[in-house]
Amino acid sequence: MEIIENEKAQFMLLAGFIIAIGLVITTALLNNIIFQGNMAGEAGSDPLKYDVVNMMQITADEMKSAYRNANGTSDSLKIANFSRQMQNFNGNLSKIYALRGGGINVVNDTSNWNNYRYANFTNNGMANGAANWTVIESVNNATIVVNISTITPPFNISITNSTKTWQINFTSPGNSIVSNSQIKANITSAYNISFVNGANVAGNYSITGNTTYGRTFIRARDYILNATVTFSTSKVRANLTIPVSVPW
Amino acid sequence: MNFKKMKPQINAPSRASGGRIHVCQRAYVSMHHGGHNADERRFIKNEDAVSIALGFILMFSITVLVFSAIVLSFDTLSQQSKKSAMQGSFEIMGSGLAVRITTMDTLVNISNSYGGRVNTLEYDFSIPASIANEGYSVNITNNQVIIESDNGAKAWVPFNTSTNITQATIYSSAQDYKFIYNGTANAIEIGRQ
Repeated sequence: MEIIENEKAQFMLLAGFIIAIGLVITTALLNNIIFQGNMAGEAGSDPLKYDVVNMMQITADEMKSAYRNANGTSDSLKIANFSRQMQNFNGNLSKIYALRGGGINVVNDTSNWNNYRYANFTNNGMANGAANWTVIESVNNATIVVNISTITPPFNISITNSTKTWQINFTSPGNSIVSNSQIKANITSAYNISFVNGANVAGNYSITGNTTYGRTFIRARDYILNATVTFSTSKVRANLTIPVSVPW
Repeated sequence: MNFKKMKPQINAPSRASGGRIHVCQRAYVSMHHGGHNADERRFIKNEDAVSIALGFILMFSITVLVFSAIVLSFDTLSQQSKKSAMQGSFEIMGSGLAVRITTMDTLVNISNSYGGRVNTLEYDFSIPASIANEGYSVNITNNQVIIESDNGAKAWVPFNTSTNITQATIYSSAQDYKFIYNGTANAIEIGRQ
């Protein structure tokens, strides 16, 4: 009878019940806090711009290389060889980007080359490029070859050192060669070579020589060839057209 | 006072007893003085006033009150932490969107510096349908991303671009969007995927 009437266990049950409720509340609260504290928003970004900039740069480099490597007895043969190298490049580039989950396609436009549309003597070869720009600095000796197809004077090549400037003015189309000895007769090294009013003239040029640092250089431009690059990943689709100065 | 000399006032507890106060005094004194007589011991051990039902009701009521107080206080704390968590998530998400916008702006500028042009440029992004079970809106202006929800959580993420941004407000109810570069207007716009 005593054990039946003993009611002390009520408090044990009650205490157990309160502890259980407390645990449930604590667990729910902690879970809520931890969940919210660790809830990730959409952070970060895939390195899109680096991929695209790299792609533009290597495409431009490859086009320059393909132009320089294009051998042939005629321009059409040279263009065919150029296109073959670019197709090979496009195929390899597609495979490389496919392994990384991206798609890429490079289409080159050789119409300027095919139709002998020469580039302007601006910084980027386009009509709207910087007209007054320095082609190279700190030159020790150089030979300048200029072939002008169209010109609206004034246009001149400015050779400048720290004390003196010699300007070579061009007023009509045609080929011109400025030898190193001619330059030396007017300007002592080291000098800079600049184009002034380059937007007024179109044609091709080649400047070769050595710098004061003992390194050889070539600055040359025949045409501006356009490359259209299509780039796509799971999140990005881009189609860009970039002008490439060839051969350098 | 000498209680030993007093005659017991009751023989048994009675509801009708008018000497209830006197009884209590005796009981109190008896506990401290010891030496109870039989009536006193019977009274002290009497548990007729103890009711299991009443005890249960009292304990249950107290438990419910305490439980309610705890839940209410926890809910208040939880709401505070929810708002803080949402603001943190908004800032992270806003930064992600700002990075995408500036990435597109950089690409456009790089292409322009090459003398080239951007024919098409689209950048997909998704936003969560809800953050901490709350919907929200994203307002993208020309120089900042503003994300806010109805419960007052809000975050601003500034950015700077040379390309124009066509201002737009999007909502978390539709999750998939994209940034589109409009070359004609030289502007970045927002559209649905």
